[in-house]
Amino acid sequence: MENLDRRRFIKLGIFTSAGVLVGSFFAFANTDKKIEVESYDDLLKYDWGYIIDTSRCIGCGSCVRACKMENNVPDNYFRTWVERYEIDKNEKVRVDSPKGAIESFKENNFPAEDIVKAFFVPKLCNHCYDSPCVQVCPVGASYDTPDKVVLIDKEHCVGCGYCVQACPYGCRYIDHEKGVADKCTFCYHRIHKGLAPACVNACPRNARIYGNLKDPDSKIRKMLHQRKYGTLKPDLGTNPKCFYLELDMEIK
Amino acid sequence: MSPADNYVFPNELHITWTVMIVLYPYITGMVAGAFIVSSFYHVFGMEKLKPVAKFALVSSLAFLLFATVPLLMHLGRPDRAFNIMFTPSFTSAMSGFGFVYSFYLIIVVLEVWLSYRADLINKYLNSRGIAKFIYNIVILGNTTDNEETRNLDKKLVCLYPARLCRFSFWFD
Repeated sequence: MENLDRRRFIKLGIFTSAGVLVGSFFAFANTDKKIEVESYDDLLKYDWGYIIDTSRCIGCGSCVRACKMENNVPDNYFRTWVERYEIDKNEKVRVDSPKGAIESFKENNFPAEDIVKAFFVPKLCNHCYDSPCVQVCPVGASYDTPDKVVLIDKEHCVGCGYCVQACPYGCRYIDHEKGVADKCTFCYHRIHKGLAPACVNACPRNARIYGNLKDPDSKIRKMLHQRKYGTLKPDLGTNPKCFYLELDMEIK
Repeated sequence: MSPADNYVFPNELHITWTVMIVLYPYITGMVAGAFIVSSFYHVFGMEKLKPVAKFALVSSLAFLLFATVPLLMHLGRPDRAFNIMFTPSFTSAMSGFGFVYSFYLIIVVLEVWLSYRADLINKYLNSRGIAKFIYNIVILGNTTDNEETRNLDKKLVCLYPARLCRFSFWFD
């Protein structure tokens, strides 16, 4: 009997641990609501927005590397990059972004003791509501999707570079291999599967948040209600959709 | 605090619009200039410019036909250039100018045709074989050439540039 009890105990133990293991797969699996888009009306339920928390960014450049891998961004061009702002004792501002911070920041502009304030600002396409790039495209290859993301039809783009000139945020570039314009898409292929954009996924400090601006319960809406934020170059009337928390007046 | 100057966005380190874009207004400048010189005679009746009036008109057409070549060279996908005509985006200044350009081209071709019509009919009558056939197409089979038609041609030649001078200034 004793032996049988022990056997039963071990059996129970094995099954319990196996159960916990399998259960934890479900418990910690990505439980985000799967996004199902079957018709045009489904797209209208979304308005993708983005928050960048400049106080949290540590300038590691993970987002830049993730973006480069996810989207095959050519060398020396960036869909997203990180800028470093340094302000010294004489209140002189220096901004730099060596190689878009893909290898992070290795050298200081100022001697460390001179710096009174420094911060990092990740940048990406603002997906403006009134985007100048869509306005100027001569062939209509740049367009707004129903869920308010600015995309490029690469089968139609002529590569004139007008949009690159028009973007006040420097977010576009010409992909010389394909001869067409290119830019951040909010990882459109990912967000419609319920996955986060590559940069959001890679950020170790949660400095990047994305979500549906039309959903009143979304994280992004709640953050915008609780925190103070600003947008880049609001004077241009582009109505950007990237909201910067703790936006410093030096950021341009 | 001083603004953060001396900083360029990483994507803007590469300059997108270069020599080819500059070459285009240079050529269209010559187009518009030559056209205005010819208009001085045709529209405003400056007899002093009569010797160069027709030559200016033809050189205007010649430059106009090839002014867009540098732009074509500049495009990333020159094979799709005519998308500007097929799927125009009316909010784009570049697309709008494509239409102005086409209109200008049509007017200049008409202008050249009208001012050389009498000469072409003469050529048609005095040529033979393939040349005669080609001249027949160019004059659209119309050999009527008398004082009346010449006056009408002159009137039209006068009318088009009057409308077009405005466009010429757009070109500059």
